[in-house]
Amino acid sequence: MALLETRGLSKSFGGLKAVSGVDLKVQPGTVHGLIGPNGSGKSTFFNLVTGVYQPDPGSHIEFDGHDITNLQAHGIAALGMARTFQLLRLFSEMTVLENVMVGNHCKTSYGIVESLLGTSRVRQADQKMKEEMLDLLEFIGLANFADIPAGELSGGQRRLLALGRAIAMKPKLLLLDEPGAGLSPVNVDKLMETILSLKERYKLTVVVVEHILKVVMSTCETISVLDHGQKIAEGPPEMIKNDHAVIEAYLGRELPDEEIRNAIRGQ
Amino acid sequence: MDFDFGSLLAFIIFGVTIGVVYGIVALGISLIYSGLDIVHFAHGEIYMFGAFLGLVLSQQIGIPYPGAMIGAMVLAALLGMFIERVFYRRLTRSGGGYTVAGMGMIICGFGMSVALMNVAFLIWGADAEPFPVEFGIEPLEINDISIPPSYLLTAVVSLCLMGILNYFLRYTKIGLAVRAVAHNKDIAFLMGINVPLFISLIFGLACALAAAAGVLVGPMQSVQVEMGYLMLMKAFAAAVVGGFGSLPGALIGGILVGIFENLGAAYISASHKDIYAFLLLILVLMYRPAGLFGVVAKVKA
Repeated sequence: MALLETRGLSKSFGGLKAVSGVDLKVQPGTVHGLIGPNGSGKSTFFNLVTGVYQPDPGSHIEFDGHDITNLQAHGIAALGMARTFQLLRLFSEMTVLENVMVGNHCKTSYGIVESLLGTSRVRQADQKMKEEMLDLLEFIGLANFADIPAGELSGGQRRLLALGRAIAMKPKLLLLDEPGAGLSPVNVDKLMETILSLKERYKLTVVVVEHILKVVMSTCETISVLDHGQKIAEGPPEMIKNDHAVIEAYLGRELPDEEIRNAIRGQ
Repeated sequence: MDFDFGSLLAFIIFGVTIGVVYGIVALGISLIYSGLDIVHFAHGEIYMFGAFLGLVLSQQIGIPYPGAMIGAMVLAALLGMFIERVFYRRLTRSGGGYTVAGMGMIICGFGMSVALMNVAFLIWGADAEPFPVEFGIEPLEINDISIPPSYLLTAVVSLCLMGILNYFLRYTKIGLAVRAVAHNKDIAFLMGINVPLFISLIFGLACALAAAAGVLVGPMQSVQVEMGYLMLMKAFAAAVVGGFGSLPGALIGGILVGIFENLGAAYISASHKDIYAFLLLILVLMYRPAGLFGVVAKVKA
């Protein structure tokens, strides 16, 4: 059974159909790529799935056996869906450790009143959580920065922290919005390695939006291609590389075969 | 008046004690500002309701003063959460989010202020009610000026409340979530934090603080329906002087406003006592527009 499934997913802004009738299945345990030219509806798709936007009537989103079509963002997050942002959007005034602790909030087992009273159960739970979070920081290589404000990290470290914050939510499904944006090719490769090792360690399913096609082609098992809000192709990387509609969507015109392949491979 | 050091000290102590009260009301205003991005103009009326609730609980029902204070704080918190749920949230919803950086909310706050004042007028009437409390502590004497025990108690209790709030926000996980909500509601929401619930919590905390201030000031002055307006203005001045959204700023701002107005009243003219706070406000806005501890500008995504 698919972990995430959308049926007829649509969203219009005024007259513009940002996403229209997208059927998509994400199989558990896979890395699923979502590509498409700018404005093709990738981000809107993420926003619909995570509950930031309400989809148009007739849409249907199912996650891990739950109908989440009309759930609010925090409810969807609590079911086990986490995401990162293209612009990261960290809590820059909070420390690195606090950032991941916020991510872990939805796993809190006690209520507001209990927290205000500071019972021993609360303290034990907090202590355990803190150790887990330090362990996570250790794994992504930020343990030495635990107590400095997130705003003081370097660009690459911030990307790692954004990833860590999402992992702290202990998600089943992790949505990554252009994790490699603005990184040098070497750092992108490193980041993808980290993402894959995190996927193994925390048994995640990953959906990744990325413009660097080389990255998508080498890490994803399945790729879906959006253009003008519609899914125009889906399949393993080899198939997508040679798909006529995809090539047209990206390049807009016919080119000799060899040239097209090179362009898509990012060479 | 001859200058002497003892009375200067006494005026400063008076200033600090009342200043700490401005500080806790300012703290509430700052909290709501960080949570909802609005200045809550009905906060003075919550303070007034707190004072009346404390008065009713301790004088008419006969609960001891500390119990009356806690009772008033709880009731005011519930009142605040009720107002937020029923009135403000409707407005934020129609604005499409949790915040409306528009005039609608401000006007709604003003309306709420007038409505609450009139409700209080219908219940308790327009007369100033005395709020006598026996503390059983001797007044502190400094050079012929005696500082009543209620002042000292006020300062101690206010500082304790601030300390507790600071601990809550800094070192508990729920406090961390409150800070996350204040920082960025959209992200907090996607992190699985129930943002509307936390906004209610923020409102409740802020109103509980205002009520505590009301119950503390009650025995010093008297309790009447119009007491909220001036407190709101002073607390607003304190929040701006300290820097909006800053927790220590609210305390320091409150104390500065308190000292400034007491010294002004003592050495310049007592009949213009309420002007000095705003004079300080204007000076700070001229030379340090973000306040003493403020962040320059809160960037809105």
